[in-house]
Amino acid sequence: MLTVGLIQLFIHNGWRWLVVTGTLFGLTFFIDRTGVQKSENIFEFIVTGLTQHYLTLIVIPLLYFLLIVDFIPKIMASNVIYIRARSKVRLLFYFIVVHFAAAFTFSVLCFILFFISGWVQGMHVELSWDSAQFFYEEQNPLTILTSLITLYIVTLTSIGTFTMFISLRYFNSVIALGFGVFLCLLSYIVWMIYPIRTMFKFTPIAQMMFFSLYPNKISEQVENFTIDWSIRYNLIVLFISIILMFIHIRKKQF
Amino acid sequence: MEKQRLIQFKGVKKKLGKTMILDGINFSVSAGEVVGITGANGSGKTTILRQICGFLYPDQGEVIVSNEIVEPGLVGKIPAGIGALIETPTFLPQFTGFQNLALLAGIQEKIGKETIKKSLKMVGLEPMDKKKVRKYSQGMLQRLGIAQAIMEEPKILLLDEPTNGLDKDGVDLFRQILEKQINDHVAIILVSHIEEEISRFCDKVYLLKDGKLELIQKQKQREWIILVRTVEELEQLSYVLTDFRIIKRVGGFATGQCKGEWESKQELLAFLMSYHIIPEKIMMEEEVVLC
Repeated sequence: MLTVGLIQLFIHNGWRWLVVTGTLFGLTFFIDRTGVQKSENIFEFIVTGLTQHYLTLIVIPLLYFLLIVDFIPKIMASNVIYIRARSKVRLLFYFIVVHFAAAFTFSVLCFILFFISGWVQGMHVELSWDSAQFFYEEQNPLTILTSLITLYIVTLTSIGTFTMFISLRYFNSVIALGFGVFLCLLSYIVWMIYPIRTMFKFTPIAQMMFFSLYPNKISEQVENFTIDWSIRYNLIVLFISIILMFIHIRKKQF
Repeated sequence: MEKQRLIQFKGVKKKLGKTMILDGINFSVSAGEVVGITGANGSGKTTILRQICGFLYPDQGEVIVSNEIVEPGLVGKIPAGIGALIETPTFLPQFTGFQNLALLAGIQEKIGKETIKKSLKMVGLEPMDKKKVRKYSQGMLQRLGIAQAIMEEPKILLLDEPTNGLDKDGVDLFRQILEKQINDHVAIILVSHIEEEISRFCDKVYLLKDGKLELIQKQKQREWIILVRTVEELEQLSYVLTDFRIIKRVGGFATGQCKGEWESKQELLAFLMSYHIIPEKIMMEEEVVLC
């Protein structure tokens, strides 16, 4: 199956996965937990970590872009794979499948790295937690974590697909990575400038910012910014990205 | 009976950047035919191969592969039935040669493990070798590249610099592979910037220069080994035959080698006798085992 081959090619850059995993794991030890009572519960730690602004808006997306930006140029330039595909559109379908698998794996990896970090730091693994420090109503930690990881997966899939379109369009992973940097900085800057914070929900990476779209006590929720909004936004971005890739890949010459 | 033309270029023009790389190219390759294209680096030889594979489309004219015009269409169809070795193939370095070919074979699911092993043996690689591709020499990579090109029994075979990195054994194996492909009625294009490296295998050779294609060899040039009794006869041969060179003695006889379009030994013998040269023996290169 083409998918298996593409996955193998995707993950064969072992050094890149090491850098990404190592960087993320290292950063988990520097999570700012002063905003809440210092958590002894591992799930509180994970939620706190995966909702830190600089991590969620800049570091995590950038590390993901680093993994995917050269995937399409590499495959298209690989004569031995390309020549065996029946059509470019079929190849596009497999790109998207592999990309979704990558977004899923990366999001779960973030969760696992925080889990390991919390465990190493001696935190308790308990399914009950003091949700009152985060939320106005009682919340099950698994429900919250599932929503959080789902946002990560959906956003990385949609924004990642658009970034892959950029790499296909320009056949240049540096330009695609630069575009990814721009997206991250855009969301972060809009968040930081209070008067335009209402525009935050329109920025791509903001869709991962769980505490901006779910009622909580930790961070200011942006008006009319909800999980539903975020999922619809991501689906629109994904749809547009796929259409653009379809239009472009048919006639792509390289 | 006219053989089916599997590749056709009709008035093809292609610009890359500001340079007109191909300026009205016309040629065809039939089933079982071997066509060579030679030319300087950057002359556009690889561009021709890339157009056949659907990596590039002509600005003008048509490229027809297996009776279908190569064009984007609705789904960006990629011409089927092509085996190609164009530039450096990308293999996964952390896997063995067999594992790499198995992954590639899994894309179309046309062949099984036994066929992959057979292809590796054909190019002189051991199928069960545990060595990872990252440790392969240039010659081994080239052999693996040829193996991936032929393993799925393509109708069209495109080979760019096919003997690059191959030793004499490798070149001999390559000749055997080509003969099998010709017998299987595969249309073959060989591309090299060194004409001598491919001309002996080709029915026709074109020179690509300034965007134009010029036929420089109309018939297959075979390699002949001529044995004579005396050094004086060797000297005579060097005057009469182009590309003649003296080689190691065979069976105690002074021996020389040349290329030519003679169809048979009798034809070459008749040619030499017209110059009053009567050789001891005439052989084709493949028949000789040099000790």
